[in-house]
Amino acid sequence: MTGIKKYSRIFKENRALKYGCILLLLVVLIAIFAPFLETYGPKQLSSDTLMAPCKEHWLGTDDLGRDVYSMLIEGSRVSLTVGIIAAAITGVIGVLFGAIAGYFGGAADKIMNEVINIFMMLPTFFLVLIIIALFGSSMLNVMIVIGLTSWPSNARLMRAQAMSLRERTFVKSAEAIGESRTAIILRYIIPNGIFPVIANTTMNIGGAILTEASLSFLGLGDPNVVSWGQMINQGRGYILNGWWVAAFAGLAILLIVLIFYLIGDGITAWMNPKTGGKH
Amino acid sequence: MAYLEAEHLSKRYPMRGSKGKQFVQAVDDVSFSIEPGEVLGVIGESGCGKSTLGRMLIGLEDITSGTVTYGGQSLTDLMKKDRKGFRRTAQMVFQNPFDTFPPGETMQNILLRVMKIHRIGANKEERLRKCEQLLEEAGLKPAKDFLKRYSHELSGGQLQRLSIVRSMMLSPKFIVADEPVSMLDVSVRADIIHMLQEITKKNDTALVFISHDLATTRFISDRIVVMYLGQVVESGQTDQVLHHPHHPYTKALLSYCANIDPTQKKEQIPVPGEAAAAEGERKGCYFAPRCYMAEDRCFRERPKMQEVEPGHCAACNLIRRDPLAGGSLMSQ
Repeated sequence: MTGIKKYSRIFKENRALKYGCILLLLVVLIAIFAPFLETYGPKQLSSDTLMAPCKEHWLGTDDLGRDVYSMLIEGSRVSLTVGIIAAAITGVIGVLFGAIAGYFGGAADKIMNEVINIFMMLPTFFLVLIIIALFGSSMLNVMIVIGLTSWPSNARLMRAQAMSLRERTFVKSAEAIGESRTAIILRYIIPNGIFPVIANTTMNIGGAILTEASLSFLGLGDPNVVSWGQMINQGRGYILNGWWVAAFAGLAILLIVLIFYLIGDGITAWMNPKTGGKH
Repeated sequence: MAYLEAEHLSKRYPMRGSKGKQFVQAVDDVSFSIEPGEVLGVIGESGCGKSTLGRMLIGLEDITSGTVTYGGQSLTDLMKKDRKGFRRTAQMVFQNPFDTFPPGETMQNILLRVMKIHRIGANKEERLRKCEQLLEEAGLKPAKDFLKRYSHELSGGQLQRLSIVRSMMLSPKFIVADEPVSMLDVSVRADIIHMLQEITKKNDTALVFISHDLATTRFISDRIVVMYLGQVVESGQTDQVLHHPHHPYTKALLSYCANIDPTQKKEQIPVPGEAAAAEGERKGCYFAPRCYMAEDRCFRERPKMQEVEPGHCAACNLIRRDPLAGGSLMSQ
């Protein structure tokens, strides 16, 4: 079976993965071409405050007269950046930490596993709150903090993978052939055990987007950028006479988290030999 | 002088949750030596510690106690001083050829990688040429075709050939072959055995051939060691051990060996029960509970290795009083 045929079959049989990827592609395109899609500047104020959706303002305006549709488009950039970069940080830390713990085993594993447990126990969101309160709330801070607090689930998955891969013949034979330990982890353990981590990281993107939105909702997001969480925060006060400000931003968050869960779920099903890739 | 010497090798695995108090004794006080170019067969049923022994010999498994020396230098020193250099002298062929190579890598990448680690060949072209030459020599023609393939696209026999080629690339002086043919079709077993034999003869490589198959071991080995529950129960020249076995376990093993002629009836020696778990400290002869001639003292006294004829040793308390002594069990 050729590569293209094989992949087209995977997408055909795996509906979660298919729709997730199509929708993600759409959102990514929107984020890339945001300046062309926006009808007004996302921060452009006007005297038309709290206008209901109409011809000029497709999704209405907020309390400062900004166009909700344009803000929504602009907000996709923030959500995607935060989600992907934060999840990438969790992925890298989790994979390295888990692979080292699982491959070496013994005392190193015991200590590292306890570290994982400690991080798992931490109430992540409150830690994020404290750090943001201490160091200020730039986008970069938000991404790094989310990344540094939510890696343990990845580390656990990778550790389990490394523990079983360690006993496989091809790892033993790599040892016998003279590969160094670093090379074994980087060339044999990680590439062969990373799949579940990829699935989990995809779902982590959704989680990171939610965390960012929650921070913004509490007024702790970066005040200089337009984000969906912030829109909900601002729209909260006008929910009775201007529901559109908060509602569309809420829907957008729901949708993007759903997309990443669909993809993550799709990858999990694809890997699972029992379902044969169907989902 | 012996090339490789193993003295009082033991391996204990601690049991989970026992805090090191309880353990499984996988290999128990095993000693032997191998001359350069010699083929030593290690026979025993599954779980008797053959594979653990093999892995300890080439430093893939930590040694609990005892020593392994290569040409007078101890394995631990060699590993500490120059791990890569040691890997070039001692290699291993694994039991499962389907899992020996990392999935998702072409044979070319896998083989070139070995040369790159050990800095064989000046550049990629030279390495590639050497690869092709080695593959053709191993009967994998056309070599170019094989180099492009992934491990899941090849058959067990081809993979095991590649595994041997890869080990021999480093021109080692010693190889452990851990049941190299047990997962292969009977039709290709002879090929692989011949290949091993040829290659070790050509390079004067010492070989430890681990197997539970008496016929193949007999064919390839110069000497044979029989193991039971981590201990060596009998050792000697292949013909000595297989034609005139002295240990009751060896006799029983031989009596169960399939004969090519189904009409020829052979009396089988009963071996009741299963091999006891190798846990904790044990007393007496390990084989006593299943032995057809065990006496009270067998349960109390650990038998010592005694020489029954020059170069042929067995560990049994009752060697001289065996009712089946002297009978040749493996005819032909």
